[in-house]
Amino acid sequence: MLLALKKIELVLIVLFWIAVFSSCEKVIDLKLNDARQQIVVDAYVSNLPNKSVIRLSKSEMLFSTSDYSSIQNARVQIISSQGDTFMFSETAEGLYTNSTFSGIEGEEYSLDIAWDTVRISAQSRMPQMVPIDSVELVVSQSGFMGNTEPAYSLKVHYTDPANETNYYRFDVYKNDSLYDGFVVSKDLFYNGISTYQFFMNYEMQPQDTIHVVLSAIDEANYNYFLVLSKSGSPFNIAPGNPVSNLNGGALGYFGAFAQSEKIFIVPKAEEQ
Amino acid sequence: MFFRWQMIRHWVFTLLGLVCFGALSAQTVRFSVSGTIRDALSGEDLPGATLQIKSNSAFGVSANAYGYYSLQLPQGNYVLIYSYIGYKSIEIDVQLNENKVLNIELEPAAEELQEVEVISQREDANVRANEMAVASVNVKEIESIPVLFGEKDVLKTLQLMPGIKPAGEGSSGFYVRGGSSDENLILLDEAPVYSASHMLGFFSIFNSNALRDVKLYKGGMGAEYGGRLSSVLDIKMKDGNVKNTEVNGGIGLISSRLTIESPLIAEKGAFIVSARRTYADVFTIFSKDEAIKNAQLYFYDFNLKANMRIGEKDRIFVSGYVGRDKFAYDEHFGFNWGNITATVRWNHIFNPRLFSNTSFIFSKYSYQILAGPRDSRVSIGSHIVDYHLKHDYQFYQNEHSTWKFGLNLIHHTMNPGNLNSEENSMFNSLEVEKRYALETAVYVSNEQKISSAFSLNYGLRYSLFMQLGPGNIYSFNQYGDVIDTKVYNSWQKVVAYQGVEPRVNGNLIINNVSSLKAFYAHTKQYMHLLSNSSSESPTDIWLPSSNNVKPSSADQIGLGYYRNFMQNTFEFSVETYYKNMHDLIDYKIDAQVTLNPMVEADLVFGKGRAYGFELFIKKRKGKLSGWLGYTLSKTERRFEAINNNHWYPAKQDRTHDIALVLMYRLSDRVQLSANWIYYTGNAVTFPEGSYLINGQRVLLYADRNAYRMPDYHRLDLGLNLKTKEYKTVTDPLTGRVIQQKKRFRSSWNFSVYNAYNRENAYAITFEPVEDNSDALQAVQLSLFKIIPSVTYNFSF
Repeated sequence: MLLALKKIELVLIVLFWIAVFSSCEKVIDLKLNDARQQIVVDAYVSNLPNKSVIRLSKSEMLFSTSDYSSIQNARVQIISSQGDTFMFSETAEGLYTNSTFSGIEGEEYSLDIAWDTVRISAQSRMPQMVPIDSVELVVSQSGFMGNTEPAYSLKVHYTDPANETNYYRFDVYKNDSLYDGFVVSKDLFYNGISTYQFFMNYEMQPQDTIHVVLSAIDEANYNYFLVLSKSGSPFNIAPGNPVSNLNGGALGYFGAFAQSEKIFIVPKAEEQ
Repeated sequence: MFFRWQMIRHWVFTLLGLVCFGALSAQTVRFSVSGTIRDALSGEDLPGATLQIKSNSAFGVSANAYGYYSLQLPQGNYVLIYSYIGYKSIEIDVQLNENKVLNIELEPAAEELQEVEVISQREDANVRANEMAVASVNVKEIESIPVLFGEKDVLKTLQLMPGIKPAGEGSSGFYVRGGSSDENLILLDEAPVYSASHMLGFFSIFNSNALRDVKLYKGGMGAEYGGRLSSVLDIKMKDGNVKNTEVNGGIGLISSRLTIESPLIAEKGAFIVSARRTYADVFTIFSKDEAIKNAQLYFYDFNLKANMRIGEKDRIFVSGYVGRDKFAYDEHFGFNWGNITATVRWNHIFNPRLFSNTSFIFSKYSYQILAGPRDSRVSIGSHIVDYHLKHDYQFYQNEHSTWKFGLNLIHHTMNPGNLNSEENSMFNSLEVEKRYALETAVYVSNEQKISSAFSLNYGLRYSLFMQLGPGNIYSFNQYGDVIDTKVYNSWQKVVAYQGVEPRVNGNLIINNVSSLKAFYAHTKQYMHLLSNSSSESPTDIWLPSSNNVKPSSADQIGLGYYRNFMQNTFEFSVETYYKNMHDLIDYKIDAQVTLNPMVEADLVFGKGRAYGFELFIKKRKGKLSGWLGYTLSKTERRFEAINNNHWYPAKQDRTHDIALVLMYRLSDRVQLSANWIYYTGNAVTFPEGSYLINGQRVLLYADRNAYRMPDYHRLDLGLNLKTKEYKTVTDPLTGRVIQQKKRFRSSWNFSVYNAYNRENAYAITFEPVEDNSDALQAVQLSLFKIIPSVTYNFSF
């Protein structure tokens, strides 16, 4: 929320200057060194069945036009603190899943990847699941910045457990495609109360299927996504790469997420 | 501990030795000549005006900040010369056989006169004065320099001097010799100003109509100044006209100004009131968008000052400043911030040789953000409040030696942030605990003329800083986790830091037109600015040195050569400096600055160094005047947590920096001006690669500040048109036609910012190519293209 405020504040003021004094944007030719190609691990396990996904890929040079290449034929396993081992097998290029796995809250999970000569490992403890109480659709006719089209905003209501620090990540999908941006939150300002996360002006139409996932995550993951959420902003105090919880020299993260979800269909205009 | 005592002892003995040396020449019978030096028209004090003895020009004294001077001389007859740049000099014969009080009024020289009367004025002050690394701005001079939106601004004019660099496009924030912007001590009538800019830094809070004197010390600051590492910007407000009521005003593209000055009780005092308000939001009416139409965006400044002489020996000053920015976007978002300062000062002359000033100062900076719909509104605020007592003395020992000593006491209260939420809001209310600190210092310094060619200014400042309770004070381990929490009571000491800050300036006059100067200064900074944005932001917060944050310190040495040419028509100087900085602050990559009670755990500490070469040529007289400044410099940082503990360029590291300022007087009424600025682009962190997380592209950044923004350059043009100052009237007695000076005078100022429409990079972002979302491209945002503006000024 604070980050959002911060962004609004700066964006509005800069917008004002842009509007009034014809500042301009143009594409420039920038000479950058090429980053070394690195292994990328994008991995989380969930308490929900069939939701745990581990993607292995490689990074690309900044201005590259080719697709990110995937890492195939890796051996991927998840080990619980009970000592159970779950093999994740490649079901699509670079995508590793296990249809029988569902995580247990409070349990610590270890990731173990072997590929070529590389071994990558990481640990994450799955927090307690926090259910979504409700998802409220807010429709405003005036809209933002004078837009006359109806504007849709979402309020994802949930109740933060007291007596512990909780970290959350939010994912909102429209017809199975994820809205851009990383949204994370920490209960510093709402410990132990009913609160909501506000998603202002999300483009959607009646009949769209909206899928909201609330993941309770650990602190390392929160810090990781917090940095990603600020990445790319010209006002960022210190742009840089997030601290990864992976051992073995790869980009990315491993998280054990306690997830809850809600799905609904945007009602027709007359029903709103 | 032993080492520290030894160091202190060493300094004390050195000082004592110098004192004895100064006293040697004080054996004969001496009398003092003292008084004030003022402007004959307005009665304003003329700080820095000089008194010289005609028979021996090496001995003299300059008026202090309140226009007071005192000189001890052996009994005898003297011719005294009083002078000040831009004023006609006065010569007075005195028979000094008793203490004499001479209050002097100098008349401003007309512009034509300045060209003719060259020798009589003290125009070689830059060569003779024992101060270096100083940039001063003549408030009159800046009138003709073109600036953004025609809004004249002392801070922007200072940025045209070598070693002082703007914090960004159009910004009034500045970096001095590689220091960051929070390392500048900004004083408005002695009150520290915490946030010196409006509108995200595009305008300074200083309304130039209310200012008299602006001086920036880039190094070599006297022992009376302390608390910041890099520089001291000493801004003095006008005292007010003690002779006539005077009204000044201006109407500009962005703001309007009005200043009224008037005498108080039979020329014993005066007051000045000055106000400025912008109306940027006026433009929003033209918007078709309802929300923008109703948006609020403005700032105002209000300056007030009054002074009164009480008898011959006392004088009281009261001054204040209130300024605020307001920004609101429909009813859901509001944001305001600003400073309040108040100063009460009391000058007392104990005897002709001992002058004192006591100041009580209040300073407050605060911001507030309101967000959300009615009844579930959230407000976030933060403030810093200072109470400050200063007690300063000047002792005029003899013609060789002037002492300054005094003490300083500041109580800081910092509210790093609080969040208030209404009942239906999604948040709890929360207040980050206030932090308290006491910053004290004592100092002594002596300006000593060791011979007619060599003078030395040496001083010591001892500072003691205490973080005080009440509060919960945390200790952290290396991972930023709390390992200990201690509870402190009110006024209980949490931690104390102390230090001796030696300052030395020397000036060796080689001949009438050239001199060699050098300085060394050690400075300490106990208050740290935590910025939460790469641009200057009103939501930046100040934190004290604490159990987790050590005070920053810096050592700077400088050497300069000064030479005037063609009877002081040209002023030339070269200066070099080297500066070491210790215990500087930066952030962890995932730092959260706003409303974070554990913010100290998100900081990392390191050191810095800066060195450079500055060249300055100024033409002071003639139809064409102006200056050229060039800086070649490097400033670097080294942090364990950044770039694997290697040295890397600081953001403000700009290798080359050029400023050319030209003013051409076409006639008495028409003046043309131009300035051209060039500097190497800031050091910046760019990505070199990208990767996918959760199906989204994430940038892979290279080392901190490994890249450069494109070079910056810009030309501004200005034209100043005065209406006729004289009117033709027929003298009723003689019937002759004479020229009479008009009471109402006005001028038009036209300026063009960025005249050749250079698209300077304000920010560079990486965005997907529109028709091919798989590829990225670099997109440059430029803020100000060519911007013409017009201002109308008047006075009567």
